Amino acid sequence: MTPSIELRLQTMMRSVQQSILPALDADDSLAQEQVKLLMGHIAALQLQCGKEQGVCDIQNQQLKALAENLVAKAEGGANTQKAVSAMKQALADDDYMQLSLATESMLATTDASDAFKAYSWDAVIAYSVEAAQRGKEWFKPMGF
Amino acid sequence: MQSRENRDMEPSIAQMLNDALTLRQQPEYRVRSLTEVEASLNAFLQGRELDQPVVSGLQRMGGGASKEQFVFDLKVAGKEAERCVLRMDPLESAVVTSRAREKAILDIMQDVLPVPRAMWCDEDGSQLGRPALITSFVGGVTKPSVSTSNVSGFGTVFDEQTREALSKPFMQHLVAMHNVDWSQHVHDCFQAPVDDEQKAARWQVNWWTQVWHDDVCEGYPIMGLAERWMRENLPVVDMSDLVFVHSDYRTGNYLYDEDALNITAILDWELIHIGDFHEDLAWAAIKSWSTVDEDGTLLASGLMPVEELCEKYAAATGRRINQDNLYFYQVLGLYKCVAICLATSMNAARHSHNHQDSLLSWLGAAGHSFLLDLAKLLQERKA
Repeated sequence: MTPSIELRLQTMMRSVQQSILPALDADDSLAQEQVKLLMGHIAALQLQCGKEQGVCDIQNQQLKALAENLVAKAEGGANTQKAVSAMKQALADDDYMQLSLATESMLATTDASDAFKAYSWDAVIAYSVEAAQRGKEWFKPMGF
Repeated sequence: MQSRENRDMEPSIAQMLNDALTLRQQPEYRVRSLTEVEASLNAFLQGRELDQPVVSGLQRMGGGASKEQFVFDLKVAGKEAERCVLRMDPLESAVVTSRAREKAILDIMQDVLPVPRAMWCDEDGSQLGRPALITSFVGGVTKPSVSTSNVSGFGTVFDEQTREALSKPFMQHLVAMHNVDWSQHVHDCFQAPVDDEQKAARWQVNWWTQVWHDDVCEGYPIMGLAERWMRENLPVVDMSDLVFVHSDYRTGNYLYDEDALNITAILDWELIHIGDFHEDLAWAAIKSWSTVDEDGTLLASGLMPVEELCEKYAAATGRRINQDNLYFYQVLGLYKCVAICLATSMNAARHSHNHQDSLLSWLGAAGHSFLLDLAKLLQERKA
């Protein structure tokens, strides 16, 4: 679609750099800092533009796979069972946000069986290292 | 999960978190003009038994992801003008804290280590529009003037000379702070976790899991695993050895003189509480504000290796470092960082409740580094 998002970001960057920044009071450190942040955001968006859906799709698929795995193996007391029900509902609804919250909530319960705790520990850490590395890579343009 | 009412937490903190929830429904935060702030500041100071107080040179300050900060000169009849700082709560920010606690701890630490002098506090914001604290201004920088580091102390690199010079006062002030007898200062602001040996850790876990659950928008399985692990592995602490924990003691939160290479003020006391000294040691060594030296050794807060930090602390205080406690507070520290970046900051930005929403949405990106560090740290242990 013309004008593309890339072009619009590029023009925004030039406006901020060449018109807004030079017009700011040099003693206004907050305004200076905010404009530099805006430039940082725009530069990161330029690098990420068009790629977000692909990253979200992988994230969604991997969380679903983890959740299905955990639901199949889960055993424990009332809190664990209640949390598993919430996960099943979120899986049935194909609702990423609800699934992420329900999965986290299930893992926080302390009445799961020892066997499930051991199993989920390894499975969740393996999943989380990969997911966080992907998140870190995605936000690399922001310097973290 | 325990209900909010039954959760074992420092009562002042529980009240503070409950109060914060009531702000959620407020409309967008309107950033006030300097003229408006100056008018309310003048009115506030008129009521302080000062002789003809006049505010001049009011300016916003940069830095800080938490509070609106202003610097101004205060002239009182017959006296030299004094440079002051106004720290004011926006509606929501990166962390929920209390200006009254901040003033109380600055008063306590005034003669112990270099801190800004707390002058006046508007606890409920009834006079300045939002809760606020006025302190003396202290000169100095939080990072080298010629620096490419990110926000809030992330990735600050010191040259060897600076590192060596700042390491000594960094340790001295930590020790001095931990040696303050908090029992002389327990009052409405602070309560101490003294009923059982796990209470100090339990209060912290309940505080930060409450923050996370109040503010979270997207769940992360590793946060659930970390919560479970912390609840099942609360460390014990000798109740006679509790200390004032700064809770954000690191590079980025002190000012130093670039010429004299000395720390001029320890800042950001807003997360102060009474607890286990390991908490400050673990926090100082979080990777995001630490650096790696020429030999690949991690330098806590960019100043000294973690082992050296612990050894020097033990030598100076006579305390024994318990590795299990240290590990626990490393896990808690990373959990807190994720909560601050990916929950509270995002919440404030989403509601347009901060004066620096774009800084908060920038800070959110750091959450993934903390998630990775948390996953790797937990990987070292078994369930």
